[in-house]
Amino acid sequence: MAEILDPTVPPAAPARRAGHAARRAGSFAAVVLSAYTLAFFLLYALPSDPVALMLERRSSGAGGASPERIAALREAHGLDDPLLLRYLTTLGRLLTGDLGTSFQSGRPVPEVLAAVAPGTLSLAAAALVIAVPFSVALALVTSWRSDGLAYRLLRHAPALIAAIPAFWLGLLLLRLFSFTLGWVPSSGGEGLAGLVLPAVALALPVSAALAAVLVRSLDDVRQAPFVELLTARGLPWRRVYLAHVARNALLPFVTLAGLTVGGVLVGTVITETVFARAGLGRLLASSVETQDAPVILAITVLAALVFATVNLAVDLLYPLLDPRLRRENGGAPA
Amino acid sequence: MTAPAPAATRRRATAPWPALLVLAAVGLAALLPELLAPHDPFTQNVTERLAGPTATHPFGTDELGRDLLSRVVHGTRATLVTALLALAFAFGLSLLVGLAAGYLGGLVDRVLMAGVDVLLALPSLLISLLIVSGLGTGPGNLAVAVGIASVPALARVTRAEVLRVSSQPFVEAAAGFGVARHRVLPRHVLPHARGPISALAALELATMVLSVSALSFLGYGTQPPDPEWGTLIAGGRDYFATAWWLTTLPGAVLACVVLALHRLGRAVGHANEGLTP
Repeated sequence: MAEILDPTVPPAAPARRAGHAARRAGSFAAVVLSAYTLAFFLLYALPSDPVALMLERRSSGAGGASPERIAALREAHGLDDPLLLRYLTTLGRLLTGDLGTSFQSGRPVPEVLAAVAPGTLSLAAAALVIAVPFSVALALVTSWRSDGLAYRLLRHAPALIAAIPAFWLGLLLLRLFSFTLGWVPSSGGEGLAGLVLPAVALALPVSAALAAVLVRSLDDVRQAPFVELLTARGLPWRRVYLAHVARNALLPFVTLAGLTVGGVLVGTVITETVFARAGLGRLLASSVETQDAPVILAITVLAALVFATVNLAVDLLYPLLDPRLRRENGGAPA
Repeated sequence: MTAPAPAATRRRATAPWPALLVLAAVGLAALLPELLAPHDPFTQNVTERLAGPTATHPFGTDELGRDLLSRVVHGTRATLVTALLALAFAFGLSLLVGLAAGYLGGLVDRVLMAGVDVLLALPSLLISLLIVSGLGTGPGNLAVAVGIASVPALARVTRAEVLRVSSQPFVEAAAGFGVARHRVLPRHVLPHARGPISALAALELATMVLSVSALSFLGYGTQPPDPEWGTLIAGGRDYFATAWWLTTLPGAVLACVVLALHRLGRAVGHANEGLTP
């Protein structure tokens, strides 16, 4: 530590930064690989038999399939090879972009995913566009004064929203705005009108979590000595709060980006089911029911890729936002 | 403008009576549903199909004329038992992981926490869905799925708690007096970590009730005609346009129970001090 603080020692910043980036890339790969490993062994090593299940679904009432047919299908999907070998071959195929074939539909997995992905992407984007400003506004209003009316009224709002089951919230919104008020179509709405309600339903639980963290962060920063100093120097509280407290408190907010994107993406499982929208979430839900392992595996790896990418981006961007991390002594008081 | 006020003054903790009342009713409904349910949850009555709430049927009736309130009351056990099983499973496993990591330290700690961190990077619903697709559907498998999904977060808290208590002077003193290592953990460390962990248990149970009902809503848990809160709400979707009570009222009960558990968790946390949920 002493050598770092010693101004005569030239800082080894570039090397350190490169090491940091390498470590981050390593953890990126670890998250994606672990997600794949976890998904693979849960899907293929556990007792349930995907082929039997697939035949049962496909030939409901047709009297069942012959043992030869089952054997042929197992062979075709490579289910008879040793587990470890399949683990490695599947990983190798994934790395070359081959995601396999859906058990359920018999179509290539990329085709199955691409058919529904746009719906999920627009829904997730719309939810983020709603959730981020809403949570920031809610937190800023709540934390304006620790003894204020807003604080007492809104302090528990995030916990309250978080306690409402997401699927039930979606149904309530649908009931109120489609059936009772008739403002938006109840289902199948393709344009903006059909997107608003699901996006709000998806955004609310996510913004509750964001606002809760942000309120705590604002409360912490407000007690920092520099706030007292600024106030003592006669700066109006509005300036102190918005230009100094909020700015500092928003910093930890950025680290939640991965969590937020993850929450929104996984939330589409519920939201798309409630609003009967086609999308990756609903595809995942139905694939879990039919144990369509290749599709589940592909969606899991895709999700892990997205979370890891967002987290990596945040980690690499964070020093640009926080000058203390840029300085060679790593944030020690100057 | 005056100086910003100091942190909100901590009000004296009072017993959260409304929450306790709700939870007492839930407990009664889970143990003795016959006592609270006005009707039999399976008796069909074709003349009273999809009837709105009335004095005899406070929650209305469903598409087969069954009394919805009775079905909600009888569904309590399915939801609660699955959530409690998940909680027990999660706590058992995360206690094991957290204690091992926090107390043994070194390589064990690093390996376990690396695994935990990777799992923390994935949303818990995704992990639950993966486990459900591996194990198959049903309430038992659902409990395992929901339980495992919250192990990473709980294991982190347990480890932090063990590290906090382990560095206390009396633990060091116990070691100094020559108390065997395998006795220090259960006799000296664990009892002191109990407070914060029990506050967490109530909050965690709330999360699990939510997860269990959400996954049941998706169709992975209790199957109809057996009542369960998430399953009931899912069943009411088919008559959504005409019978609002089928989805709205069971959901309201669910939300109340989750809120009550939150409130209880906060109250226990305040009583213990230290841990802010």
